[in-house]
Amino acid sequence: MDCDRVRELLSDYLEEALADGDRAAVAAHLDGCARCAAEAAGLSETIALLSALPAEKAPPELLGRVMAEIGRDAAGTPDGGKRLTLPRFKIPVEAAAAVFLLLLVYGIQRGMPVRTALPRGGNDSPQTAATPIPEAVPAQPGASPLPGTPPSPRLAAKERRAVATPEKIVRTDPGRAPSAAPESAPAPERAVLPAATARADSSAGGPSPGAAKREAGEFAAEARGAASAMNTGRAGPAAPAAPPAQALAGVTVLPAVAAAGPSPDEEPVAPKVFAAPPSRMFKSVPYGREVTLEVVSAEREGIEERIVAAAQRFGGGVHPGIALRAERAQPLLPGAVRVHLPRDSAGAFLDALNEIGTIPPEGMPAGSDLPAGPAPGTVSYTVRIRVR
Amino acid sequence: MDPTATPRGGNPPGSGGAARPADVLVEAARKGRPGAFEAIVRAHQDRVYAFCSRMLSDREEALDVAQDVFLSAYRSLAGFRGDASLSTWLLKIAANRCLNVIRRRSARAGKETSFSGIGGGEDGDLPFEPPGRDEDRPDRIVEERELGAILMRALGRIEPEARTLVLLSDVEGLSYEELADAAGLPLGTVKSKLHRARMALRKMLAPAV
Repeated sequence: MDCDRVRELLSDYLEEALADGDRAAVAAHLDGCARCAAEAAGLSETIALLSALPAEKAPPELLGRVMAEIGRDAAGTPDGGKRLTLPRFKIPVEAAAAVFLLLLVYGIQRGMPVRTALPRGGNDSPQTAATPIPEAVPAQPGASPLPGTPPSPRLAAKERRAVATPEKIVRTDPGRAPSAAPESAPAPERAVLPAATARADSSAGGPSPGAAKREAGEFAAEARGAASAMNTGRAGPAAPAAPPAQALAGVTVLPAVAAAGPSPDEEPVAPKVFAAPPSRMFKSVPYGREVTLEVVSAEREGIEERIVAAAQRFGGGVHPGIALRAERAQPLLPGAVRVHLPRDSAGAFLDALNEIGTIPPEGMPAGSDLPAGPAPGTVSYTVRIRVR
Repeated sequence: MDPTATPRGGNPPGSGGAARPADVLVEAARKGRPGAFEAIVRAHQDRVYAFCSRMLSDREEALDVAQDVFLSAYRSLAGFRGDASLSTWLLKIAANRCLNVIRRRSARAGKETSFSGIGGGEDGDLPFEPPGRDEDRPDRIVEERELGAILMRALGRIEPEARTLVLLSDVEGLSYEELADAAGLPLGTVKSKLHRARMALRKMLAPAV
C-alpha cells in the first residue's frame, strides 16, 4: 500500500472503520513510514483537539426567548397546544397554495403584455395612450412620494411613445364610445389611466360601454384621491375639483394631454390592456421599501447622485421611469430616490447608504430581502432624504 | 500518541448525546404537557448553542439561530419520527440553519466572514497563518489560549459544509450514518468529505500541534 492510499484511509483507520485486511495493511505501512505515521499522529491529535473543545454554555436568555415565542405561538393558535398534533402536511400545502395564488396574480399583473391599441376609424393599428409614471414623486421637499404601480419597462416605453405622438392620445371614436364620457372624467385623468379606459374598450363583449366609462370615471376619481393621499397606500376620496396634472410636480403628464379638456368631437378611446383589472393595476402600491436617510445640510448637495451611484455599484440603478425623466433634463427627484438592485446586494446597499448618511432605526426597512423590484430577484427602495 | 486510539472525546459515537428519556419528553411535549418542551430546551440548549456558535463564530447570530432551531423543533415535533436521537435531530436542524445563515452572509459580503471575533483578530480576510515555531511555546499557548483560538480560526477557514461535518463528527460525536442523514449525503461521500476536511485542518494546524 503506497503513501497516498494510506493517507486516504487514515480517517477510517483512526475511526476503526476499516476492514481487517486494510487495517493491517495501513498499520504495517505506518510502522515502516515515518512520514505517514507523523501524518496519522497529527490527524489524530487534531481530532482529539476538536473533541476536547470546551463546552460552551447557552446564554440564559435563550430559554426565555424560546418559551416566550412558544407562548406567543400558542396564544395565536385557537387550539393552543393541539397545533402540534395537526397533520404536518396541511399547513404547508395551504400556505403553498396561497403563495402560488399570490404569485400568479402578481405575475399576471406584471408579466402580461400591456398593449395599447387605439383603433381609429376602423383602423386597427395600435396607437398609444399617455401613460403616467405612477412612481413619480411630488417635488415638494419632504413630501411623501406618490405611490406607484409596479414598475415596468413597458410603461416607460409607452411614455416614450406618448411623448413622440401626443396628438394620438385622445381619439374620437363615436361608434365605440357613445355619449356618457364627458361627465365621467375629465380628459387628463382618462388620458393617464389606460387600464381604466381599457376596461371601457373591452366592454364590447361585456358590460355596456357607458357602464365601463362610469367605472373608468370612478377609477379616475380614485386615482386622484390616491394622488392627494400621497403615501397612504390607499385610494382617497375623489377631489371635487381635481388639480391640473401639472400641479402635481413630478408627475409626468404631457402638457398637450393635460391641457386638453373634454372636447365635443373627441372621445377617449380605450386602449386594450391585457392585464389585471384597473382596480389592481392602479392600486396605490408603494415602490419597493422605504428607507429614510438622514444627512446633514452641508452634505445635502448631490446626495441623490450618490445614492444612485451606490445602487449602480451593486449592479442596480435608478428605476427606468426615473431615468427617463432624467433624460428629459429633469434631474433626479428631490427628496427621494427610487432605485432597484439585485436582491443579493440589498444588505450591501443599505450599508452603503449608512456611509452616505444615517439611517435612523425608524427609517430602516422592515426587511431587506423581499423581492419587490422591477424583475424577479431584484429589490427596490425608495430612499427618502431627510436633512438634519 | 497512539494513532489507533479513538479520536472521539466525551461523546460516544453514534449516541449524539441522546438518552431514551428524551423520547418520553418528546411524547409529553407532543401532547402539550406543560414544561415538557422547556425541559427539552434545557437539556439541549448548551449543545445546540455551542454548535451554532462554532459554526457561525458570532454569539448573537448563534443565539438567534439556536432560538430558531428550538422553535422549528417545537413546530415540527409531530414530524419527529424518532429514527434519530432528539439531539441528533436538533443538531441537524441547527446545521441547516447555520448553513443558511452563512450562505446569506456570503451573499451579502461576497465572501464568508471568518472567525474574526474568536481570537480577537481583525484579520478575518487575511490568509490563515498559524503561529511560527517560536510562537507556539506552551507558556504562550496557555497564556493566550492560542490553541483553541487557532483551532476555531482554522475551522472558520474550511468550507462551511466541511465545517459542519467536522463539528458534528469530531465535536458532537455523530456517527458516519448520522452524519450522512444530517448532511443528506451518501455515506461514502460523507467519509471522504470529512477526511478531506480533517486533513485540511491538520495542514493548517501542523505548525501548532
